[in-house]
Amino acid sequence: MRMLQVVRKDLLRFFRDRRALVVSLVLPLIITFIMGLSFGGGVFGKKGISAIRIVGVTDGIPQMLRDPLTEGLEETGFFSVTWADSNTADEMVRGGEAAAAIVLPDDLVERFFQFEPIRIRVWKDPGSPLKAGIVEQVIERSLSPIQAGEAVYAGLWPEDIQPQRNQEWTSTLESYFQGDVQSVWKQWKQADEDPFWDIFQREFTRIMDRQAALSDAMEGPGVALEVENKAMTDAEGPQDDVNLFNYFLPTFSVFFLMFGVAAAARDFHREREMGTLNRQLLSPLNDRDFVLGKWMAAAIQGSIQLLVLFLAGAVLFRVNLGSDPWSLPLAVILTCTSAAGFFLLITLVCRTEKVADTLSTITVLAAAMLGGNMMPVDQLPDWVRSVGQYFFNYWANVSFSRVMVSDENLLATPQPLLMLGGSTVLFLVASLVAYRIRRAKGGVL
Amino acid sequence: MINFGILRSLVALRLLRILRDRTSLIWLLIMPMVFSFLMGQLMGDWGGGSAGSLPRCLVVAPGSGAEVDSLLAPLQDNAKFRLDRRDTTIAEEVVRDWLDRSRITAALYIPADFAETLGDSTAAPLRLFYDSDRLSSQTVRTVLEESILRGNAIAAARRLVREDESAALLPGESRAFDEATFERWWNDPRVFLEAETLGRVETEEFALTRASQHVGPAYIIFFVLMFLMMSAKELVAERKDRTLARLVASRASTLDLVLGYFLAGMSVGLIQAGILLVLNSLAFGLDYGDSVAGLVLVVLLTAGVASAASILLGCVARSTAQADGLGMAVTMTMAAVGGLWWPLEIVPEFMQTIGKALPTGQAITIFHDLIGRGYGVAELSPLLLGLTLWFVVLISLATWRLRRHALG
Repeated sequence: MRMLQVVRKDLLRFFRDRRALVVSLVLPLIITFIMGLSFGGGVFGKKGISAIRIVGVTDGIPQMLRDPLTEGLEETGFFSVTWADSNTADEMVRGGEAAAAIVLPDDLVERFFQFEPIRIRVWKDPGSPLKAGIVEQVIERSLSPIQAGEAVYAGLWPEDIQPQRNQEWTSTLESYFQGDVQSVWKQWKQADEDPFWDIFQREFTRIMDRQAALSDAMEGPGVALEVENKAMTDAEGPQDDVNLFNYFLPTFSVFFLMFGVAAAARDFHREREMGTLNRQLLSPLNDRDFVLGKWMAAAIQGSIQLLVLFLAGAVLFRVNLGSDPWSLPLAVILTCTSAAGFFLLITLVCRTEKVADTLSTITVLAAAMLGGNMMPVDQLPDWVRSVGQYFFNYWANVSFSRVMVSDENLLATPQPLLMLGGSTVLFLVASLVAYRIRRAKGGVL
Repeated sequence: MINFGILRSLVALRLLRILRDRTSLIWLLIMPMVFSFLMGQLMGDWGGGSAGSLPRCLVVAPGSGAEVDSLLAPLQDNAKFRLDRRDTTIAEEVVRDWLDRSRITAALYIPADFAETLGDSTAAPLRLFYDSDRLSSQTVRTVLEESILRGNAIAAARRLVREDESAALLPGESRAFDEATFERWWNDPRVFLEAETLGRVETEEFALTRASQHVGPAYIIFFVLMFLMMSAKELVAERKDRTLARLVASRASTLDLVLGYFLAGMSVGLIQAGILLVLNSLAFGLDYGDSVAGLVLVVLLTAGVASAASILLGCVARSTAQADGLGMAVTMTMAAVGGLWWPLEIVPEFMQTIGKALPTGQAITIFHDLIGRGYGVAELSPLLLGLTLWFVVLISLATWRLRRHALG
């Protein structure tokens, strides 16, 4: 009963500080809202980074080639394409208006038919390396079949690739491809008198036969690859739509919970410095009741904070609170009991409130980074995850993720709950020992 | 007339307080560097990073053999992902879930009978689950498709070879397949892609490919803002314990007080930013571009905005606890929306617009433009003007509020 008096007194103080209450409840919701907007909570924006803006350089590229290129690039589902001259494209990429520019050589068609090297350039925006990198990858993939075809052709018919042709032959060949499609066709129709025309026709037919045979062979049996794109699947239907608030709300709630519970635990120092602790010690309150009372007050305060945040999240962001009625309440309670024990221990081993404040804030920030409050636990690098497992917030984040993201029953896979429960006992016993040592040394006065 | 004695005293007092309080050094210097290091490690996904921090490409290959090894060989030792090969089957639902949670960047299923059915038209296909919004995932697809294409191309070539000299060649057939020529053309294709990064840095070394180039400046801005916003409570305390009233009684004008508090905060911000810039440069090899004037201006304006915001907060907060809470709330929100925690590149356009309207977004964009685009003051001027506008608004509001407090 005496312990409950301590709990009641601390909770009353917490509820009377309305400003702190607002910060501990409103701030996590604001940050969660921002995160949701930023990473596709589906409120306003399009999800992901699709429709990357790219610019094609028009110099020397005829309109009849531009249209299929635009269509091809936009069909990939990744790009929105505009065309501009090289100077404008350069400015657009340098200024960040486009993630990348694709620059084809002026004499692309002639080079292609004359087996000359063709350099396709991608200019990348230095401020947008992620999107520009994706552009580079997609263009590289679209060139691969051409490169493979030519390599095979060269391996099968090397004489066609490096023909023994004299200057006259080269210039005549060039003349057969000069102008637009119509003029090329007219020139071919009128070339009967040309001594090279027969040779050209024979060579051209042979090459086309070989290209056709190669094309058929490339489509023959081989290793097939089926590709399933996560980003596209997500966009296809509401049944696949992931509510990112399910992840962001618990992680930011746990982050701000740590600040709130640490502040509640530091109440010990405030009372010590104001002298009210001295008066409590004069009462029949024993060490155990005092420590348990402080711990329980902080844990209840934290539990209320988390429950209010989750309920607000369910209403505002349609956050999933899990289908199992016990998993979420258990995760909330054990997270808060563990947090209260941890920060009470820090408070008791620190000499003053200021030291406790600094140490607890540093711990909160380090734990947030290593325990999965800054980045999903699943995405943490291995070494960070292995260190993070020593922080209670890691197990809290795992618990909430399983309940709210995966809709799992924590009682069926209780490891995170057991870790939180075990750490609660550990921190509580350590706090009691720390308090007794401190009291024995006269450090509570 | 400005009383320089009061200005000097206020600046000296603030610096003395910080120097005497060793814990403030933790917030000034140690935490920003720790954050830069750890967040650089966590953001390794967007670039290269250490092997341990590279995103994982899961390969589910119950079968084995030289064919599987040959298929996977090009995927080994990639700078953007690491291969995790499993010889046990994992359900596709599990893999999709891992991909959804970004636990893996891609997953490749190789059928158990891959080697036995190679070249058979009825063979089961390989299956790739990937995420087109991730560069590492796109890279997996590119490398894998190239590897498959290479194998298929060689197989196709062999189907067109008629080695029997006595048989006549049909159109589109060859007597031999010259693998050496194929290899030469495969490795040095006639149609090739050449990528270059425009701007100052013409390599792959900028920004997200080296997370520290975003994280370093971002946490300098964040901690300068946070430290000054958190110290707003000192002004609240001075208002409460009547130190401010005593300063007014000692003939300090509103201008003296505003300038004094502003310069004190500004000095702290500049010292902190200066030391952190040097430490980031030494520890993470950061290079801040070619425009010293641009760098100086962005640091001055960032410290100025933070100092002015701190005075305004110190004037509007009714208690030290309120100043703390509001300071934390404002700092966190400005950091999140302004692109200090993650680059604005990856958020929707309307969030980019909002972010770039905030001083945090303007400051980090200036750093990106300095480092990546090699911009000078002229190109940076719209963003520098934006920061200046913020500074003018905040210092005007701060002066107005402080004047009200000074006049009682």
